[in-house]
Amino acid sequence: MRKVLFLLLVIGSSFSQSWAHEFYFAYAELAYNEMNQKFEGTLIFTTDDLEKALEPKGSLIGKLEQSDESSPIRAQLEKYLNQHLHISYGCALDSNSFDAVCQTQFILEGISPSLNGTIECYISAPAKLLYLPAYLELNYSTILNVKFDALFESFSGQQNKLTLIYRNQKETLNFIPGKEMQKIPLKP
Amino acid sequence: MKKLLIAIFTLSSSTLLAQTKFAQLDQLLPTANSYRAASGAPGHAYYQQKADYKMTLVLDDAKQRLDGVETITYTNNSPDPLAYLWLQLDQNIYDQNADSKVIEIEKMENFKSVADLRKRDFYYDGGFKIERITNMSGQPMKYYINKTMMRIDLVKPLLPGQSISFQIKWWYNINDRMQVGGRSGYEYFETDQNYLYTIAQFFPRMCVYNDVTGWQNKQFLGRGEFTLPFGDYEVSITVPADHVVAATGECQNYASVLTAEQRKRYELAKKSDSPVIIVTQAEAEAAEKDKASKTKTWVYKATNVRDFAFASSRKFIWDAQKQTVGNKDILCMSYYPKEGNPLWERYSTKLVAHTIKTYSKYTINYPYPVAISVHSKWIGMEYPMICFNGGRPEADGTYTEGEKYGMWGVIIHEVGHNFFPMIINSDERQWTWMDEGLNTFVQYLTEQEWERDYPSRRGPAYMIADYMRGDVSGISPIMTNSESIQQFGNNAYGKPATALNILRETIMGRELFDYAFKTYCERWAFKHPTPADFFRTMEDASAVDLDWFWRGWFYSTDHVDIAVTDVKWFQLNTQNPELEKAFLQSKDTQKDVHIGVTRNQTAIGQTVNERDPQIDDFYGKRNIYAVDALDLKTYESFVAKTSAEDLAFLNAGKELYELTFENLGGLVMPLIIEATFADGSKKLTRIPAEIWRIEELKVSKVFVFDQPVVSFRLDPFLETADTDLDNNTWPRSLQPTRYQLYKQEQTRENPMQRQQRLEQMQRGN
Repeated sequence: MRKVLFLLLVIGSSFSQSWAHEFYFAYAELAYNEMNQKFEGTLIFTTDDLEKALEPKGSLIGKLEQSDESSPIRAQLEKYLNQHLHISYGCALDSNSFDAVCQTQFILEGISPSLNGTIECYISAPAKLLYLPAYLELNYSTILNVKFDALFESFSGQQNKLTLIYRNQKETLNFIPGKEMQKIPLKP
Repeated sequence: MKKLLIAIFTLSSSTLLAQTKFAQLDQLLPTANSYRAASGAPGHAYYQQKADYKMTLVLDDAKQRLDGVETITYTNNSPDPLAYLWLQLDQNIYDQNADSKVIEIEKMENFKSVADLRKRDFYYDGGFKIERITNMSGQPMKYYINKTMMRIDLVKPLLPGQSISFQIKWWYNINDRMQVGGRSGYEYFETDQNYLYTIAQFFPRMCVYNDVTGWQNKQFLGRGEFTLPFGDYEVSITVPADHVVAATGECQNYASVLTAEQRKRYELAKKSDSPVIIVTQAEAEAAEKDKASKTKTWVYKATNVRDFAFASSRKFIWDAQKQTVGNKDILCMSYYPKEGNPLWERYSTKLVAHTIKTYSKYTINYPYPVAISVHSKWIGMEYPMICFNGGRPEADGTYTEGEKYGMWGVIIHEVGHNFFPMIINSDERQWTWMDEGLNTFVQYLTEQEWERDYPSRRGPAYMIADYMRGDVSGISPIMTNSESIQQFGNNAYGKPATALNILRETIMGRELFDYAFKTYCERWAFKHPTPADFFRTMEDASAVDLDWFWRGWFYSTDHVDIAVTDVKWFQLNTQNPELEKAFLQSKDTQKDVHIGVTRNQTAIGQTVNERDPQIDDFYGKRNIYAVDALDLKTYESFVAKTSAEDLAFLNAGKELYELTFENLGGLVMPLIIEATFADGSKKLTRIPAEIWRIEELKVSKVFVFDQPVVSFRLDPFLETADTDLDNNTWPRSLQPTRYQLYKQEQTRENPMQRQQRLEQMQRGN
């Protein structure tokens, strides 16, 4: 029954067509800013692909290149990014030890479309309670669980890469359909 | 005995390790032979088959159906008797049971809507309908269709040097490109109820038979494109009388298909250096409304081409201009519906002309009489002399700057395909990079000559870094079969184009590279090259051993991450006591002083030995910085034993630095080191990649300068695709992230905000 409802809800979506560019690749660069206690970073997409993924129920809501902060497509983009990029991490709610699991909620701070067909999206997410490793320890609380499956639903060949920068640590991980989640241990 | 064995084992292991990245490619490349020489040139026994076609085609605009009768004359230039012939039936990819659909990996999440599901199972009666295959006496020939391939069995083998002619009658329903996709098909314009046809892979085509693959009859699964022999074509195309046709080759009967006025414009265009409209928008719009019921036949001839494609529509506007290449005038043309304007009228033909001119400089002179760009929404696809290109403005005629650059890029790219693979005819079914990669590389050069600082998406080394860095589990080597490539675009277009750009700018230099690349193009124009022919020619024509480069960039998924991990500073000891003791004294006075010592200078009025002269003995009284006669005698003796040149060098005040470099990414590359001195001047040192030939993971190098260095930077011009620039500097300086750069620039208003502010100002607000 649930499946039937799902299908009815989305009747009317358009056929998705795209330029035969074959560049199904998105890239994220995320750094943890200890001063601001935020994850801050940049996501890079093929503009055309991202716009198609944002089409709600078949109607284009505008071009990112022509949008400003108040354009509906920006809100749509922020929502989409939060659906497809999130980090869950050990956090300390009322003590300085790990006692909960928190999840990022990214704010879209801005975008910068390039004339070569790519777009940079600038995002940040407060993570004040992130439980940071103080000494040589490696356990659940010091591992970031990262999901990055943007555009996977649109293109079967989509592949994403994410580079996490934390202190002197810099790691680049690959995300492909079937491998949407990755774990990144934070090193003290 | 045990120790001896271990020693031998260790020795051979390390020897193997040392050989890994610089080992020659001998084991990977096919052995050179009489068909393909070790130099990379065609061998003395090189051969290739020939397939000539005569076709009569009828386009049914009411049913969107194409009917054809083709006569193929196939000439066996190989030394082998052929018992059967293989032909390609590419339209069968639209058969309901085609492998291309079945092998697609699917998940429920790929289907967001009923429309997606409908699209997946969209049915139309596609695929070739073969009505008959006969010899020239009309006798049926035996054939067998295996999906997208068809074998025709010969009564007796076709011997070397012999030709055979046979006829095939076929038809198929043309695919709605907007519904089912595809490289060709039709687009329906609902507003005026007309069709625009871009027709390709539309007839049974001979497969290639050669010394490398035998028959190249790998199934067409949709991604690995086409491998075709050269031949001559005579094609007559019957279409509605008000259609305008664009096709591979030269039209033989403009007199019977164009008006007198259009023929006059056509003659004018042949002599013009800028586009001349042959069929105007007004004429096209009139045809859109009238919809002729009669037909006309357009006749084309094309010589020495590997394929034939055409476009037909009553919606076509048509413009043309000449472009001189060598001593030949090429007619550059564009065909587009009004929906392509204003972009198409303004740019398309000029881009065609610029592309063939620029490619001719880097490869071979464009050999065909015409070059055509046809507007076809969404796609970019190439055929000999003609290509179908996207880039459509909004319905109101406006377009974004990104759309404009997208259109420019796709036209340059698809017109460029005339050279790779239409003329330098590699095996697309096997190696996508051989045409897409080489073409994308020359596309970059062409874009940069179209507009200074053109925002090319691929070419410069730094642009491939995001794709190559880190976890390589989703990356294939470039040398991967077309159907099995992960990340098709980055792998087969971006990475090889970058690799060639690095060869040109950094490894070989422009002069050596351009000569070798042109040599490859000249050697293999109108022939079937393989990767080995390319690799070998680039070395053969340049005297640069590039095996390490092919191995790293084309056969591996390693990436470039070279780090400056240590810097040691040395100065030479002149042995001159007057200089060295003064230097020592100066160093000692510059030493950091503990705070207690400083405070004691005033807090302790007088120490015991300052009060009592009896306390200080020889040691307490001596001046360690004083130069005595013994020092001078020793120096005189040193001077007597040392040559004047050595003394001059010792006294020149040289600064010596030992830098350690670590190869973290695996891909060896040249070391390009920029030293910055106190006075702001810089010195660049380039060390070839061979510095890694024995130690592949860690090397050191000593640099001698005339003044102290303030900082070192590796790869300062971003030419090696280094994926981590943070470890390229000494002293360490982290590069700002993209986010940090954004925040730094955030106070600046974007161009759109500025425009709004300008408009407000002009309105007097």
